[in-house]
Amino acid sequence: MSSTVLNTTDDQSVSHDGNGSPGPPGSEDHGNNESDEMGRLRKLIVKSEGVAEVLPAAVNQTANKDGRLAQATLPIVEENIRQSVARDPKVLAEALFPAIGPAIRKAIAQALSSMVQSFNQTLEYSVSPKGLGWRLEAFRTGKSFGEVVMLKTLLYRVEQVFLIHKETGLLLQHVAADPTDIQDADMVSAMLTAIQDFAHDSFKSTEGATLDSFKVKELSVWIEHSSDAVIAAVIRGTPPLSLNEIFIETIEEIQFRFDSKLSNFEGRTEVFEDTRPILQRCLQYQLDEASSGESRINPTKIGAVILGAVILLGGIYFGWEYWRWNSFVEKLRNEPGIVVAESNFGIFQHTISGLRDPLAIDPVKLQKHSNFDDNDIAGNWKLYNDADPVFVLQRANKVLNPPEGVVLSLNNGVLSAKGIASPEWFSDAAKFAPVLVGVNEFRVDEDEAVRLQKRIDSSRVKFVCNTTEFAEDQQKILDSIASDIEKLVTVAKPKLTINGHASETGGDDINENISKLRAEKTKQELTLRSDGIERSLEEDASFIVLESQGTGQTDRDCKVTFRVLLK
Amino acid sequence: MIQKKVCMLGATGVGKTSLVRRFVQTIFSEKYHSTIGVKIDKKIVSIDDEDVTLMLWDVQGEDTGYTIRPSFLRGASGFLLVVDLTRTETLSTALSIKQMVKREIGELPFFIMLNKSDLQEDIKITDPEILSIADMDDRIIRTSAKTGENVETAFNVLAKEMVAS
Repeated sequence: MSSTVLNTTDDQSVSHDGNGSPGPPGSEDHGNNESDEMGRLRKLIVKSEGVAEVLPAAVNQTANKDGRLAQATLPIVEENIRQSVARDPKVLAEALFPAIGPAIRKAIAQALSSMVQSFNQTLEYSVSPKGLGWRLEAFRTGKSFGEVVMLKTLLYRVEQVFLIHKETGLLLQHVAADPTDIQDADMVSAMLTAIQDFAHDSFKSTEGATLDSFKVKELSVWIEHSSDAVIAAVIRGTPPLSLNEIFIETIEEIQFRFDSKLSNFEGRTEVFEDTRPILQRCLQYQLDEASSGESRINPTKIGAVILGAVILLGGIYFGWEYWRWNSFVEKLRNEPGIVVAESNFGIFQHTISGLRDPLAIDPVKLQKHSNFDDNDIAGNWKLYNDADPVFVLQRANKVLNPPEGVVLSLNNGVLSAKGIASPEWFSDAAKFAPVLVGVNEFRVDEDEAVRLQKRIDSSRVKFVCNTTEFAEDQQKILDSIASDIEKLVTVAKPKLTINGHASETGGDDINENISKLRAEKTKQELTLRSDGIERSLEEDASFIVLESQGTGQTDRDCKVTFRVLLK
Repeated sequence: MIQKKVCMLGATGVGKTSLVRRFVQTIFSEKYHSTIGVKIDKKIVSIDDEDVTLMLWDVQGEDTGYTIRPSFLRGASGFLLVVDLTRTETLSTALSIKQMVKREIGELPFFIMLNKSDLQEDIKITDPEILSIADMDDRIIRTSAKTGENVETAFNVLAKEMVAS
C-alpha cells in the first residue's frame, strides 16, 4: 500500500510539464500527449483505488488514537444532517424511527403507569379499609393522617446500587446508603445476573426482554439495562415510578461516558471508579413532609381535612344533643308526678318511658319547652296516682268537691276539712276521703265561726228581776259577747237573735214587755260596745232580731239568751 | 483488582460443590442449585502480587434430566471441568460439556479436575481412558476435595492463564 502512495507522488511529478502544469491538447507532440493523458487517467484511477483501500483503516486508527477525527468531522456531519432534514425530513425520521420509536413508547407507558399508580393510591388512601385503618392509627397515636400515610407508603430509600457488567455479571461498581449494612456485593451482583438469566431462559421471553424488577417484602430491586451494563437498585419502601427515570438517565450516562471501557472490559474494575459519583446520584430518599417542613395540598389531604371537620362538627353536635337530652330527662325526673323508668339517646330519635300522674305536667309540653319536636322523642307514659301531698290534695278537692268556705288541707296523710258546710257533705267526705291515694284519715277542722257561734249561743246576760237593769257583774259578759260577735261578723254573715226572758212572777203582759225591753237594752249595749256590730246593722238591719219569751219558770229567767244562725 | 468469571462444570455428583465448599467464600445456600441452577461463590487468589477475584459460577451438574443453561456460561473467562474418578461416565459428560462450551462461547482456558483421587480403591477411570484425552494432558489435575489435594493449585493455575490470556 505504501508503494501505491509513493507511486502516486511520483506520478504527479511525471504528469506535469516543466512549469508544473500539463501540456495543452493538439500540440505537436499530440500523439505523445494523448498517451500521457491516458497514462495520467490510469494513474488517477489507481490512486483512488489505493485511497479507498487505506481510508477505513486510517479512519479507524485515528478514531482510536484521539478525538481529533471526531472534532474534524463534527461540522461536516452536522451540516449533512441539516441539509438532509432541509431536503426531506422523512429520510432522517425513518432512519431514526427504530431507535426513537421504542424509547418514546417506553416513556409514555412509564408516564401513564406512574399516573395510574398515583390515582390508585389516592383512591386507596381515601376510601379503602387500609386508609380508614391509618386514620384510626393517626387518631390513636396522635399523629396527623398525612404523617401516617407518609410513613406507611411514600417514604422510601434507595439503599444500594450495583453497576454490573452485562456480559460477565461482574461487579463494576457499588454504592450504598449505609455502607455498614451490605452483603458481599460482587457475589450479589453475580447472583442477580444469574437470576436474570434464569428468568429470561425459564419464561422463553423474546430476545432483548429483560427482568425489570422484583420485590422481596419491603425491598424492591429495580433493574435498568444499557448495551453493556446493568444497574440494579435495591429500594426499601414504596418508591414512585418516576424514580426509574433517574436510573435510566444514570445507565445511559455511564454507557455513553464509559462505552469503550465497557465493551473492552477485561476484568479490571479500577477504571470504573469514576462511575461512583454518578451512581451516588441514584441513592435517592424521600423525607416525610412534616420533618422537612414542606407542605403539599393534595386531594387526599383536602378529603382528610373535610372528613376531620365533619367528624369534629358531628362530635360537637352529638355532644350538645346528648347534653340537651340529659338535661330534659333530668328535668322530667325532678318533676312531681312523673317517674322516668327508662331513657335512651338515639341518633335519629330518642325514647323515654315511665309513669305519669294525670295531674302532673304533660311531658310533651316540657319537651317543647326544651326545643324538642314531636318526632324527636318517642314517649311511652303509663298513668298512676302519685302520693305527693300536692297531688293528693288536688285529687281530694277534685273528688270531694268541697262547698265554698270549706278548705281541705293535708298533713301526714290526714285530710282535714275546715269551714262551714252541710252535715251531709261532711258525712260524704268522711266516707270517700280515705279511699283516695295518700289519704289515711279524714278530719273535720272546727270552724272559728262555729266556735264563736257555740260560745255566743251559750252566753247569758242576767238582769235584776222585775227591772231592765243588768245584774251585777254582767258588764264583762256583755263585753265578751260583743267581742265574739264582732269577730264572728268578720268571718261569717250570721243572724243574731237576742231573746228576752222574764221570771215567773208578775203578769204576762208585764213580763212580755219586760222581756222585750231587756232584749232591746242588750242590743243597745252590744252595739255601743262594738263598731263591727254597728256596721253590720247599718248594712243589714235584720242582722239582730229581738224576741221576747215573756213569763218564765223561775226567777232565774230574768235574762236574755242568744242564738246565732250561720248562713 | 482483577475480576474473572469462572464456571465450575461437570456431571451431577462429581464433587464440584465439595471442591469449592472448603476453599471459597460463600453467602448463598446450596439450594440455589436446585432452584435456579447455579450458585455463586468467590475465590481470591494472588497472581504476581496482584489479587484476582474469581467469581465461581457453581453450575448445577449436568445429567439426563438437566442441561446446563448456556446463558450461565456467557462472559466466563475460564472454566473447571470436574470428573469423578469413581464414575466412568462423568468423563464423557465432561468432554461433551467442553464441546458445548466451545460451541457456545468459544475457546477458553480450562482445567479438568479428576476429583475424588483419595478413593484409590474405587477409581474406575483407567489410565488408558485418561490417555484418550492425552492431547489435554497439560489440562488435567488430580484433586481431592476431601484431602484438599491440588485444589488451590487448580484455582491458581487457571487464574494465571486467564489473566495472561
